[in-house]
Amino acid sequence: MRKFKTILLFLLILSSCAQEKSLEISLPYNGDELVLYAFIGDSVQHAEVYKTQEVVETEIDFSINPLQLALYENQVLATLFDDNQNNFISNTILDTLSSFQIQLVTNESTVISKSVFFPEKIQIKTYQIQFNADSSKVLLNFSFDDKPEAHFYHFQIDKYYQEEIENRENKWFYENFRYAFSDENFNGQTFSYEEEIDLEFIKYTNGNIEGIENADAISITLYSLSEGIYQFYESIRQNSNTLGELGESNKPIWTNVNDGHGVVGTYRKDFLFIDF
Amino acid sequence: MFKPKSLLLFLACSLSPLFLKGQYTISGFVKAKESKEALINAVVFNPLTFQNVLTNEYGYFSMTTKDKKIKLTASYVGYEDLTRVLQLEKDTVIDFFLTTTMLEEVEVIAKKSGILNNQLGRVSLPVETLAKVPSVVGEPDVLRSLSILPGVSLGREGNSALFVRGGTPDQNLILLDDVPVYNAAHLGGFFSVFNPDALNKIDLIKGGFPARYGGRLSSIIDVRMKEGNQEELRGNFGLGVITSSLMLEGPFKKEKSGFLLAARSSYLGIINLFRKKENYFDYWLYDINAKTNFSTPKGKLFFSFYTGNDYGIETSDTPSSISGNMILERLKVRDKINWGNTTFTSRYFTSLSAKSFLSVLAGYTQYRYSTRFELEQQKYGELDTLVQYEASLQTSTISDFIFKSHIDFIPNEKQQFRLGASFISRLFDVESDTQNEAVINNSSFLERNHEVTGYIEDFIRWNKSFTTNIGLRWNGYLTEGKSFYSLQPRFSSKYQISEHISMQLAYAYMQQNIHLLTNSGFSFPSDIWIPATKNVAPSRSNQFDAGFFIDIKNTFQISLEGFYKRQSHLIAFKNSHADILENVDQWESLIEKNGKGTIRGIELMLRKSTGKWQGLIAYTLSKNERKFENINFGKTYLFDYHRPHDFNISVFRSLNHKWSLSANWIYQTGRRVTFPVGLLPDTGTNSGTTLIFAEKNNGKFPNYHRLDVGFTYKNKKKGERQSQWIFNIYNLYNRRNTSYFYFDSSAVFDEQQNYLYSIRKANSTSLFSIIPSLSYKYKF
Repeated sequence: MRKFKTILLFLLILSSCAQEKSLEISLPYNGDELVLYAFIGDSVQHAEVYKTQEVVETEIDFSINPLQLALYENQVLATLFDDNQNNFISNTILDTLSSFQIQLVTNESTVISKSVFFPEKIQIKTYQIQFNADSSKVLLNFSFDDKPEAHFYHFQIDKYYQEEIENRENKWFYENFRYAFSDENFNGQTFSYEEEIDLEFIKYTNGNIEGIENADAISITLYSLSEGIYQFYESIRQNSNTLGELGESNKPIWTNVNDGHGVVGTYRKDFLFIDF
Repeated sequence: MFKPKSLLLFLACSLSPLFLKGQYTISGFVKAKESKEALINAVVFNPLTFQNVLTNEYGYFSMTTKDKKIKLTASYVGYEDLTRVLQLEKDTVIDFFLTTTMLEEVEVIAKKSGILNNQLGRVSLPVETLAKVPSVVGEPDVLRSLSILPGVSLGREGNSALFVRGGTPDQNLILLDDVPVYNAAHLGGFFSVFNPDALNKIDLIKGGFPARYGGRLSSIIDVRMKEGNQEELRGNFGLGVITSSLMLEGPFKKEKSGFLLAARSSYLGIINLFRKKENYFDYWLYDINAKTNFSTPKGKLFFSFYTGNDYGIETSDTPSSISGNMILERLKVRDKINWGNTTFTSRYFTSLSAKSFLSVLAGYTQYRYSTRFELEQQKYGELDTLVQYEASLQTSTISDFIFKSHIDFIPNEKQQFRLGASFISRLFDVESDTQNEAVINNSSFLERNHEVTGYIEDFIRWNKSFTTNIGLRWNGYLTEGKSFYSLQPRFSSKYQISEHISMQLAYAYMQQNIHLLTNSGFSFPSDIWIPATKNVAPSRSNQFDAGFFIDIKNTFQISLEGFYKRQSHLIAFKNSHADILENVDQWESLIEKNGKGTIRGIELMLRKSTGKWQGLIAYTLSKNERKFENINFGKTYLFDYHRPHDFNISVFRSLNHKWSLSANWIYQTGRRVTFPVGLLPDTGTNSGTTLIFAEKNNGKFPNYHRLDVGFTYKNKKKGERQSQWIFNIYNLYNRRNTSYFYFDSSAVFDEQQNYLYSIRKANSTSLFSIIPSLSYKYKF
């Protein structure tokens, strides 16, 4: 009986030591790392630079003060970007057969992207528009020829309403639809896309709704993208589907910036403006 | 690398002892004296020559000797040794009937069987021992209890899916009386479908696979139901927190035939049958096991049956929008889920001669799952009512027809052959119909495939110290008009260094022709079995094992085993949140294939199965890696359930003739998880953020540990009658082990309640805190 009591006493002590608090989970953090987003076109190049932040950080501040942001063509310095409040722009005409890298230099560190190449330009092959009875909607159909190699596309459809406004451009646009995808499912075929576009614009004056007007033009911009851009956004998209179940199946965020984050990509575009 | 020619040459040479003359064969059965139940893997040995054999799955043994006078001892854990001295004039048939020590609280006499039946990668534990391990809510779970063994771990808390030597749960072949059970989980994995009252024995084979076993990569869990008592009517009933159970076994005709009938059922479903309401939730689960046996002059015929189901239903009919006394919107929801297994086995075995034994089996198994969901939203307007309707019906079934046969042939004292063949016809039938208003989506998958298998095993006793088991398994698999053939060599050897020390080596090549589409670490009923196809090849593995076994004073057994396993053609989900059932007709596009796995480890076990203090200490050190071309950028990563350290202590102590104690302490490295390593700004903005995920499974949850304790109070009554109270405490010291985590922000204020700053942190959430439970059992 003494053994029995000893065991009971031992168990009682153990249960009284019960931990009732939740366990702490400490997340890894590699320290601030540089983030580079750059989109290289054959006549205009645009970049943004930031640093990462710790996940548990509550004050959002990604800003940095870069010393230099440079574009390299075939590993030779081609141009330096102009800084315009973290909106780095360069208007350099580039050879679409060259390779390109972007280097970001700060006081703390330097990162450089992997070499990227221009994709093949894809042209809009055909288009058709069909209005509904009161011209409030238009059915747009356009097609383009896919190439047999791997390609990644992004297209954007914008609608325009023209009005003369003092001190402003005479056209203001509203982005209607955008879509990025790989062509793995229709490799080498003609791809046809159809979208019904609501042409109605809400017209504002001094922040007040003044009325509704119909757009009088739409445009299609078909971008062919370097693979990295697609991979980067696809990895973000895949993780956005796992919200609420952190850690279960998250995929690494794709990057082609050595020792940093973000994406450096190239694009070529075909633009079609349809004025009604 | 394996060369078929050299193996055949080796087999041919090994046949030479077959022609030896002037020998006597002793054969027969080893059975329990009380029930006439066959004792599987009992040891029959000659203490003078150290010659020994194990009984097969029917309790049958055959031994050949040149000696005219022989002393034989039959030995089995939990039973008294029985020794017979025989004077041999001719081949002799003799049965051993062993007396159990389980019913008596006496110290079991130390025996030599421990070291003799040590087999690399194989652990046999009596169901009584496994049932003693404290469980979550007092429901004894023999399958879950296997996790006390080295190399075996549970995936997530509250789920009985087993990970054996780093393999996933679908790589375990769970056999109930020789036919597979495809989903052995109740309550979404809370506990297993095996009712301990109906079971005789569980063998876990995790390495050194003999050629008779195949079809999965990581383990065989061979569960045997009790045969049915041929001597007298026995039974028990139990009352637990979730279920109650009843078991009866007895003779149809004494010593000729017997039966077993066991059933258990949850309370909730039965109670709710009598009080149905419009808004209610109901859950019912049950298991029914039945078995009969008929003895013939030379053999025995068995029929065994199992069926079990889980039913869940939830209905609600509630106003979802009210304005004053007016109901503006009404929501009706009806959700039903149902899953379960049915197995049927008919087996006949007979001794063809003193040296040969035949077994024939025909069986059927089915796993079924269905879910029906209906949602009706009624919006009441001034003139009419708008009704929106959503519904889905999803079903999934896998069923096998199985035919198996084997012959054991024991030509002489040095050799033992087994030749076997099997045929399986397997049907996969998955269907999903969903409706959202007028939009109807259908997706289905229907496939029948066939497997033919043949194998040979040759157990050779080269001398007193050295034995080998060489085998070859051939498998032909036909699916979608394509055939896959595989030749799977098996080898194991044992060298008895001394009476108490042995060393063993083994190799096995395994192939698995079916995959489980699962998007979680849980054993969910909605997981779908799908076949290997011409695009998704069967999974394969090569496994090497080595072991060292020591027996100390016939009391302690120490085993040290190492393994190295390479797997290929594994699958994984591309996006684990894809709805499998809704897209089952395109399942091949949802997965990553041709994955590779490398698992290595060392297992140490110290076991004491005699005396007042019994128990085991198990430790596993392992590394578990995976590699897929399109996961983690093609780089090797640690598997989700990579647990380098896994430690377990289980003790059973008889305190006095009424009270006994069992305790189990488990410590494991926390499971791997992909933690974000930082925040990334969105392009073009300084406010939006994206979590940065870098390497897959770059972090781990806090280490897992828990102590469970159980007390049993036995009150012995007249004859064999006995009542038992079992008091369990799960997670005695209330460790809040992490099940998942989430981010939480909280504001910090000063004394005047002015906002200062906010804190964001990763919070851990646990499923089970301390859970006491009480159950009662009465044996008669």
